[in-house]
Amino acid sequence: MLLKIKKITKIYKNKTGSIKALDNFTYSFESGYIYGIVGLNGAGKTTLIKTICGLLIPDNGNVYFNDDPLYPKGQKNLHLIGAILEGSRNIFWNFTPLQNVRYFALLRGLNLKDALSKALTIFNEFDLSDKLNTPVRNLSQGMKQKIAIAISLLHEPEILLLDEPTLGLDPIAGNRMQSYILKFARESKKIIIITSHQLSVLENICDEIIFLKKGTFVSSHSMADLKSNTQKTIYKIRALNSNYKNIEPIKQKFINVVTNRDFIEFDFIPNDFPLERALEMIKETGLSIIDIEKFKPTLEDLFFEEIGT
Amino acid sequence: MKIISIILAECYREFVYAKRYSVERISSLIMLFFIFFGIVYSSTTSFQANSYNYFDPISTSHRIVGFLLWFFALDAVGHLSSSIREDLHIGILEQIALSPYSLIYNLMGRSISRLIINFTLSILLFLVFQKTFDVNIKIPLVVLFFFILTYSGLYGLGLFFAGLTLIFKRLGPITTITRFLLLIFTGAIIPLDSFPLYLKLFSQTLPMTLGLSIIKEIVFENATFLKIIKDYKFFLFLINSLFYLSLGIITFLYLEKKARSKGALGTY
Repeated sequence: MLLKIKKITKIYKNKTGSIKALDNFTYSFESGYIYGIVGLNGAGKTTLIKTICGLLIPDNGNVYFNDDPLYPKGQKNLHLIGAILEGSRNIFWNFTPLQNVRYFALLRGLNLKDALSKALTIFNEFDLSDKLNTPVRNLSQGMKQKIAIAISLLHEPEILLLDEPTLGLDPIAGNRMQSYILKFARESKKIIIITSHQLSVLENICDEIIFLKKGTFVSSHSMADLKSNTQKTIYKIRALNSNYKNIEPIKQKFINVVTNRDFIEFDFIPNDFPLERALEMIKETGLSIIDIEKFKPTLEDLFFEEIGT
Repeated sequence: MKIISIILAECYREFVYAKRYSVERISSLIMLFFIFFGIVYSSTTSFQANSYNYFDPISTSHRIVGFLLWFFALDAVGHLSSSIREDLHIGILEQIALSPYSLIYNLMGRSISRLIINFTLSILLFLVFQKTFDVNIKIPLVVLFFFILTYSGLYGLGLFFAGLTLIFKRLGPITTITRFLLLIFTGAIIPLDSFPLYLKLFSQTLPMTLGLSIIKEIVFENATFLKIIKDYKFFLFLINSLFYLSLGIITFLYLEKKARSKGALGTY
């Protein structure tokens, strides 16, 4: 299975103006991998998820399921998708888990007996076997989320979209949810796309991370690469922000340069040349170095480095 | 078949709701009965002391048939809109729209499931009315054909309102006003002859008037199927029903596309 997103642009218009929620986004997703989409609020994560599942018609571009376009008339392909959407209940809270299974199985044209049997297996894995006849509204947020995921898996979708699946969960429930997703992904070999604005949520389960900023694709990295970057030593060289010549020519030699009112900070990885050379370059501009700090970046540091703050 | 599966899903949903909110469902049915009871008796009695109260079994029979058709119209016109509003409110519409079947197909299944339920309830109401008012009405099977045509027009109007709900979320009293227009101006409980000409003309444009008139001809005047379809009135009725059905389908599809463009399927 190959899911291709080609040049998707989505602009929301209202009375006060317009917002570009996605700008020319292109990416390909393959079976067997878990993809994490990361970005701050308003980065376009939910817009992307809703565009993939046909709930939001893009202004430009298309979504392809093995080269079969979703828009304008590819609704039949939606059987390939299971989705948990952020901000929606996704299931009936006044129904029990089993009643939800019966309704959604019938709605999707599934064999009721098979669907119930499959649901019981998933509920068992999710430790929900003793809650089958309890109205969903009486269950915890974590259980509600697990039931919604179980329902979205009934028709055995090839693509599972999870929009902020751990939002509102306590740390223990969040960790359990991550374990379930990881186990399911490794066993089923589906395409799983998870959005979050917390890289730590995706750290343990994703194979690949896509960074979005204000609707624009910033970069994508394998999680292995991101983690290896956290092993690198970075030097933060701090200089006084006064009496210096043009620093533009040396900026590209550093991985990040931040200027504020009092200081200019240069982040440097000693790969191509040594620290001494970096210090010389800064001094040659007239800047006075006041401090050098050595550290290993966290994933959160890399996140902010990618999307900016 | 897909549609059967959707109908079963929606019937199951109705069943769960009816079980959970049984008091509400039963009381609304009782309320309907009392409204009708009041309408029939108020039209045959006088507040004036010692005045002559004339209970007319023919007029009552006409009103029973009219009221039963309105009972279906009540749901056909407003249910899709209110159920979409409820789905939006509880945050389930997007999951339903994620189905590989289009939303309009889903709503068709929803309507048919309600039709089946209402058909059962209407038989119950019909028997209660006959017993209460001591009248004997025989409804030939051929009425079903004209009923389906009438219902198609009403369903079209329901789809029209459902489409508007996707965009505007709450339609306020618009569907309620329409439901009462259908009760008052279609000949369901008030004879059309008693209206001035402009109201008579207005009543002919509503999606229930001609259907009800034809059904009454069959039930009370023993008109045959052939006689009905040869009459110009049937032609007007056909156009009327097709107009409302087309209006509903076209409007709904257009507004659904607009809602999907605005991302409005998940917001309430």
